Amino acid sequence: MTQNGRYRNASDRCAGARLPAGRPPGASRRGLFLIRLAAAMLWLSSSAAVGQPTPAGTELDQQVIALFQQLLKDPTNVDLNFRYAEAAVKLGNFEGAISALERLLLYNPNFPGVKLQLAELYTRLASYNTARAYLDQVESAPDVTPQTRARVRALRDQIERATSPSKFAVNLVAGLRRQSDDSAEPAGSDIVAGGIPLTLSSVILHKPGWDAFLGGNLAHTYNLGDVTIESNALVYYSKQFQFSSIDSAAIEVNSGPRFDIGGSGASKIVSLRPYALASEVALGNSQFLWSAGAGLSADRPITERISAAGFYEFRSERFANVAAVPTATDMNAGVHSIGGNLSYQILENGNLGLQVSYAIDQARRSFASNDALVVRANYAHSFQLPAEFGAGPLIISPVLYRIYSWNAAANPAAAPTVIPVTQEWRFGVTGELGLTDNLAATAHVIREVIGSNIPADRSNDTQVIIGLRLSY
Amino acid sequence: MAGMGVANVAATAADRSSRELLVAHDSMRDERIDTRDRGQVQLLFADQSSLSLAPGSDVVINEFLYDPQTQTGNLIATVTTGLLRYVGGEISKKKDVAFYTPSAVVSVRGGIILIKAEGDARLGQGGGGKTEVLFLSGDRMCVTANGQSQCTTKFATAITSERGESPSAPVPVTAETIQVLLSNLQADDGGTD
Repeated sequence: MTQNGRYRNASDRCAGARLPAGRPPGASRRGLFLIRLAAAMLWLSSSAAVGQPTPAGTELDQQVIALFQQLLKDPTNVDLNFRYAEAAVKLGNFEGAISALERLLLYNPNFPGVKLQLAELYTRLASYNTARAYLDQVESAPDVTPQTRARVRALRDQIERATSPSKFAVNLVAGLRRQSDDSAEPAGSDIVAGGIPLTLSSVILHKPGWDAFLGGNLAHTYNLGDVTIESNALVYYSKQFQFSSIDSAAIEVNSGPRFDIGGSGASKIVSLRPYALASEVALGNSQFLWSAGAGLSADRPITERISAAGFYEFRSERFANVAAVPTATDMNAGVHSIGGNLSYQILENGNLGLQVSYAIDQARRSFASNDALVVRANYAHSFQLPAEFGAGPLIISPVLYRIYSWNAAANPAAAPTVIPVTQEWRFGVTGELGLTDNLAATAHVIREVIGSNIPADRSNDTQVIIGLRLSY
Repeated sequence: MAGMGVANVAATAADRSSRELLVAHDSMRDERIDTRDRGQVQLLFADQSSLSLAPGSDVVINEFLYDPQTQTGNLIATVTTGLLRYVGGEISKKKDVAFYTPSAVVSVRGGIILIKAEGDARLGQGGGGKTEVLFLSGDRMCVTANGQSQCTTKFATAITSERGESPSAPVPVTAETIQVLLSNLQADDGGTD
C-alpha cells in the first residue's frame, strides 16, 4: 500500500498542510509522492539571525555596564570612551557607542577616524544621510590618509547599495540528509526556504537512504515609495544516493506589491501583500507538476513583542503522469489554503511561534480530494557564545507539529471501503551556529510518526540533516 | 531608587571651560543648562543616554529619574532655545522621552534626534518660536502642537512647528543639512587634543 503524503505550506509566513488522498488507481509503487512547492518561510527565516548582537544579561552586557560606570566617573577619558564604544557595538548598543564617540568630538573635531567610525555606526543603524554627513566631514578634513579615503569610498558604496530602491537577497542551504524512511521531502515542511519557502513531500519508501540537497531563495524588492514590489524565486534540488526515481527539482516564483494600510510605522494598521505565483516540479528527471495561483497575505504588530499574520491562497495544480506515478493526473486539483500565525518574543533572546492553517484540496477524482489541518508550534532561542569561541550565536529551535487529514472518499484501488484519515506527529530540533556574518552551520533532526485508519499508510521516519547556510 | 539627589559633575575639558560635560546620576530635577555664554555641553545620563547642547542653547532638565535595577525611568526636558542632540538610552527603549519647546512637544522612542528651537525672545522680531526636529534613528518620533501630532519612523526626516500652528508633515533632510547641525555640536577647529 501507499503512503500518500501531501503537505502544504501556504504562502508568505504561514504554514499549512494537507494530507492526501489514497493511492490513485494504478499507482505503481509503494511511494506515491507529491512534491510541493509552497510559500511559508520557516527554517531559513526563523533562524536567519547570523551575526546578531549580543543579548542582554550576558557577560559582555555586564562589561558594558561596568565600563559605563567608569565613564560616569571619568567621562573625558578618551581610552575609556573607545573601550566602552567597542564593547557597546559588540552588544548591539550602537546608540551607546555613538554617544561615546560623539562625546570625543566635543573635545576635538579633528578626528577623522572617530568620524569614520560614526559613519559606520550610523550605517549599521540604517541612518544613511547621517552617515553621509560624517563621511563628508572626513573627506573635507586635511591630511586624510589614502587608507581612510579607501574606507570612505567603500562605505559610500555600501550606503549606495543599501539605499538603492532595488535590492536583492540570497539564501542558500546545501547539505546531506539521512532518512530512516527515505522520501522526497527534505525534512518536514520547514527545512528549505528563504523568505519564501518550499515544502517537498512526501514519498515514503520504507527504506533508509541518503541524499544531497541544495535549496535557496532569491528575493528582490523594489521600493516605489509607499509600495514595495516583493518578488521571490525559490529553487530546490535533491539527489538521492540510492533511489534516483525520487530525485527532485523545483522552482517557484511569486511576486506582488506590499503596502501598509493606515500609514507607516507605529500608525500602521496592517501590511498587505497580494501576489501571484507559479511553480514547476520535476520528479525522477521528468516533469511532474506545475501550478499557478494567487494569494493575499496580511501582517501587523500587535504589541512590541507580539505580531500576527494571516493568508489566503488558491492554486490550480496540474500533474503529469510519470513512471513512478502513472495516474498522477487524478490529483489535478484546485487548492484553497487559509491560515494565520502569532509570533511572541517571550524572552530577550527567545521567540515563540504558533501557526495554524487549513487546506481544502478539491481534486479531479474524489478519492484524491482531502481537507487538512496543521498546527505548528516552535521556539527559537539564541545563545551568545563566549568571545574566545570565535563563533555564534547558537540558535536552537525545537518544533512540534500536529497534522490531521480527511479524504473525501475511499480509494477503490487501495481500500474501497475505508475513507482514509491520518494523524501525524512531527517533532524535532534545529541548531544553527553562526560562523561569519553570512555563513552558518546547520543541523536538523526530525521525527515523523504517521497514524492512519489504513494500516499501510502508517509510517515512521527519522531525518538527520547537516548543512551550511549562506545568506547575502 | 539609589543615588537620589541632584548630582551634577562639571568635567571641564582641559583648559576650555566651554567644553563641559555634566554627568547625571540616578536623579536630576529642574537643572538648567545654559550655553548662551559658553560652548558645547554634553550631559551623560545614568541610563547611558546623552544630551549634547550646541553654543547658544538653554535647556532645563525638568526630571530625570532612573532605576538601574529595572532599567526604567523618566526624562522630561524643556528646550527654551538652541540646538541639542539626544541619543537614547535604556529609558527611551521602553517609553517615550519628552522635550518641550516654545512651540511644540517632541517625544521620541529609542534612537537619536536633533532639536533646533528658537526662543520666545525672538518672537517680537518675527519668526520666533519655531521648532525643527530631525529624526536620525530609532523607533519613532512625534511632534505635537496646536492639538495635533505628526509622527515619523523614517530616518533623516524633519518635522517643523511654528508657534500657534500645527506641525508639518515629515520631510526628508539632506546630508548637508545634517552635517551643518552636527558641526555645531562639535568643538571648534583647533581642539585641545
